[in-house]
Amino acid sequence: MRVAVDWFALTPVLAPALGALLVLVIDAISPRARMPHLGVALVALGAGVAVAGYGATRAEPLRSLCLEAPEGACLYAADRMAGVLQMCALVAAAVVLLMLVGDTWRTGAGDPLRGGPAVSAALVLAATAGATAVVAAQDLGTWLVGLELATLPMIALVALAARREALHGALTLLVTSVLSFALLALGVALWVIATGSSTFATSGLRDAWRVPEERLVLVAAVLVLLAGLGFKLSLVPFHAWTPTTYAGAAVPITLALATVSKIAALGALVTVVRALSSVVQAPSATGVVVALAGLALISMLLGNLIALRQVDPVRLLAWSAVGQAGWVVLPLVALTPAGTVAAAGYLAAYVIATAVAFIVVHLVHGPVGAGVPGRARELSHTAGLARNHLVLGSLLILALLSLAGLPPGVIGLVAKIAALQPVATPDLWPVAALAVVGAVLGVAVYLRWVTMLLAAGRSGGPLQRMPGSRLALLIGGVALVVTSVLPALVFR
Amino acid sequence: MIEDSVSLHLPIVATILIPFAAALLGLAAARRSIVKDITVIAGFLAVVSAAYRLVTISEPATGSGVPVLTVSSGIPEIALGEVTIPFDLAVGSRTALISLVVAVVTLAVLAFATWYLAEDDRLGVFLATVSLFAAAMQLVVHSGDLVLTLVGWEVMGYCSYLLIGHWSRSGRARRAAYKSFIVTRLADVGFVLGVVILASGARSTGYTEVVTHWSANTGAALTLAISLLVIAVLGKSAQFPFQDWLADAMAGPTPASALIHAATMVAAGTVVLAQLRLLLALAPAAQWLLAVSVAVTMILGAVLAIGQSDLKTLLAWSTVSQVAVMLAPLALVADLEGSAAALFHMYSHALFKALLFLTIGWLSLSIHSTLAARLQGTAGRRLSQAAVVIGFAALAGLPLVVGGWSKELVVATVAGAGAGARGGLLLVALLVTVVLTALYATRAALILVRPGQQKADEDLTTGELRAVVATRAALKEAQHKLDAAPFTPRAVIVLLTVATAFGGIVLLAFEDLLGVPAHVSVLWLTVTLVLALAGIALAWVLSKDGDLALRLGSRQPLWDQGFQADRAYLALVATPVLAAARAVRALDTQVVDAPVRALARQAVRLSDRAGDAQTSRPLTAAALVGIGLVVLLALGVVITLGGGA
Repeated sequence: MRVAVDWFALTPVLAPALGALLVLVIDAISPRARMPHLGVALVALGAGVAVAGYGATRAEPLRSLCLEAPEGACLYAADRMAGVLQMCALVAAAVVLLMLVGDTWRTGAGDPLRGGPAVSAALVLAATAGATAVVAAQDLGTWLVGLELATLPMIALVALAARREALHGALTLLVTSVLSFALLALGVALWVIATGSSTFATSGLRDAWRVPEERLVLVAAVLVLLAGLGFKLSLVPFHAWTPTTYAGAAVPITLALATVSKIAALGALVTVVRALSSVVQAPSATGVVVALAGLALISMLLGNLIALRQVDPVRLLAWSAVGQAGWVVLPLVALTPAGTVAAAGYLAAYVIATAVAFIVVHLVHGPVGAGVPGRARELSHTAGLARNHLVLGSLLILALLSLAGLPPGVIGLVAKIAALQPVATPDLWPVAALAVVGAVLGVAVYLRWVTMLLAAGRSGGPLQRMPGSRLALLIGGVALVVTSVLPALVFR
Repeated sequence: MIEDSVSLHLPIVATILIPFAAALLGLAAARRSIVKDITVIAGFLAVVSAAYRLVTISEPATGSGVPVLTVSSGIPEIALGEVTIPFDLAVGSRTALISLVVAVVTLAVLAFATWYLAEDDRLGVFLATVSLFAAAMQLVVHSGDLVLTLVGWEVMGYCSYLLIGHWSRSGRARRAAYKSFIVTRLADVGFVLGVVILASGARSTGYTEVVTHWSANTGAALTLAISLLVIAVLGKSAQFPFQDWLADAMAGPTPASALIHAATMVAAGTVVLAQLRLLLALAPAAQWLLAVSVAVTMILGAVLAIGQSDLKTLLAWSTVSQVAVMLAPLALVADLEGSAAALFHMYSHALFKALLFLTIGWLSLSIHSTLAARLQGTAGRRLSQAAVVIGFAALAGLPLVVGGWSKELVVATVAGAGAGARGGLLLVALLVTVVLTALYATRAALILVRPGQQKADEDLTTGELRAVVATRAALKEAQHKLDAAPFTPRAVIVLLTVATAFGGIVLLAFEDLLGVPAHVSVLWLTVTLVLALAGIALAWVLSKDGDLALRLGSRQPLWDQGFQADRAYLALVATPVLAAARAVRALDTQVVDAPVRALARQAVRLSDRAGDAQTSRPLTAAALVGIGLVVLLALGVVITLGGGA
């Protein structure tokens, strides 16, 4: 069997993977090097962004790893939506690395993670390669491998902060992720049993759906996969690791968890849902719809409800991530192609806004070296930020308003409307109604913080020199402002 | 004539735009002395423009009625859905006449104010506001479109608020300004609603279209619309029950009072109703409303004027009464003759009331008071005596001066309109008012002209003696200052005195301007003369021992308070409205908002509980994953089986 490989199309996956390898090689040659790692990683990510961006502008998907006829399926296909998600993941990884490694450039600050820049860079790049792979994966093998590649380095990155809370968080993450892997493997097995195929291709799926017994197995497969992915997306009740791990990890790693991991998980879920939506007619997949809707709504309501009273900004963002995960899954409930596009768009908007919020929190709180017990973070430390540090304050406000879905955070508003549109149908209106309640709760969560930022406060201290984070804020801030002015860049 | 209907009539537009431009320029240069020249020159140009038009009016006026040309204002016509707004102006000999009077009075007020308010740091703003006020009045006078009328009407209301509250450092002036604004605004609601009804029926706001449509569609809608317009007119003209704001408005500078009373604000209602007379005639119920209100107002105003301790407030109440007289013929015969009588009286009133206000201002400037007791005998010089005597003679309606002719025409028109309850009511009210007006006019003239009572000094205590000496010194100084008054105010007073003395005869000579032949009715001339003389004689007798208002004794403050109308306003309108507002607020915060607040409280409580409950142990997380999986699977499989079966 011959496989046609288009290496160019694979760049978004291969570039970070090769970058990780190169970083390790450099480290072996010159153990004291620091900035070369960052340079190599940024070049690799930049190459990936360029190709992913090219793919996002094309009408036809970028395909690779194509099998010969008669099957003719391609194991890798990145359409427009996948391109946007890959770009988000790659840029987010660059932001994470800038914060991890860049902050130590000529500042004398200690490394935030054990193992130094080489380990950090290699792990982040590996996780990113996994995320970009899973987004475009069309067969179960690549899908599963990519997903795990995106997850496992994260556990190490959380643990490398070498603080008590970090280890605690890493342990929780590990336990949950092992369980989740088991579920995913089970789900994949069930899928193969039901469809007789190891790809997400529609032919076998359609046959399976016609036979009631196989349909049952297929539904079970989807539900088990959903449970496994729910962990990665932080959907209630698979969310319990989220606040612990988010709060325990170094802030850049939390940012990676909230962006790169999320993109991998959603890419995986979208692949499953898209495959299912292409064959589902009558009888409709009510079981899947109810499961998706239930997970989305419970996450949305519970996440925002608990976020309402948090005092640690990172914990608040963690619970808000739970709530936002509900919003990401919401449009998928409709089981339509338009719904998957809306979900991807919502995730992109969320990633941009939450990245800006984490960067600002990191800048205000200052760097923490590996193994050093972290200072307590409190929302009140950011009080009055908009008055004392205009740029930081206004970017954080814009990010929070975008998460809440209020102007001038137009991108968040458009995302919420796009997410509600697929479920605003005669059958699904109760879902939309409950989602509106969740949106109102979310507004309360974020406005609480916004009022603190605008009030008089004592956040007037000078900021520490963190060149990498500042550059990261520039990237995130530009992305946030540009997409708020031109939401059509994400939603077309 | 048809060709003209689309063309732009430059002198008319200029008459409106010149004061408007002066207002804008004046506001821009309000702090510089040039503002005086700008506004006064613009006022002069407006007079020239209005006079030019009056001279060049060519149509024969008698016979078929008042020809009215419709000309474009220069603003393009707008079609808003089903309603067209043509923005037309209407031109006729009457509008030209009224426009000239407005322009002359405005110029007089502007010129007088530059002297009267010379020390005022906000003189520039005052002059600009006066110009804007005049522009708005000119717009109402020339308007051929309900929307333009509404614009002018509202701008006048706002300007009167500014002028009355000019001395905004005084609490009394502020309250008076608020009061006038709120009372007239309340009535203006009627104007807006009336315009909406009229326009929605006629599908246009042009007068011609509105009159054509509603003449063919009389009925309840027309009656309602005209009644609403009449209510607005009653508010603007300070007629019962809206009468009380005008007396309070005396807290403003005297030139502002002259403008508001003589030619603009309170007279605007007469102009509008005269323009819409054809529709008014078709709505007898609205005419009844107007008739009852003016009958009550003319007597009430005259009675209140008799007892005022302040001569400026006396003039205010006389305005209230005289505007009622002006509106009386419209309430009875809203045709060409009725409106001619109304406009003639408006013309007269504008001249003599401007004269009286400016004279009182002139006399009171150095005394800093308009109290009757302080003004006693201040009109000692020839010019001031002539102004006072001629002005009050006109007010009393004596023949030969301007007020006599117009009052006789009003009485004759009302009497000649035939019997009927409405006619009888108005005629009786008018005749009573003639007596009362002559009475208080004589009282005021006597106060000003007759020297103060020379009491024997030895009867006085030392303190009283000192006060009397001080008063005499002040009087002497005032006389000195009056003599020192420069040319401008003297020229203004002279001009207005001459106009008051001969204006009536002049107008009768050019009777075509009013559109009807002036008929001097010997019978009613005699009756009014006799009644007026009776009033004068009565006043003379009562004033033998000094000011006749002193005879009211301890009840006199009731007159100064306008018979407690202010209290009635507070009790009947302000208190219920405020109570309703409080009730609405309570409803909003305690009923409408209550569930929302409760929900918010519950959300916070739930949040606290859930936050406590969530633990971070790895095993808990794993357990939750297991539970989630079981529930998810059970749910999905059961539903799928159920659906498949």
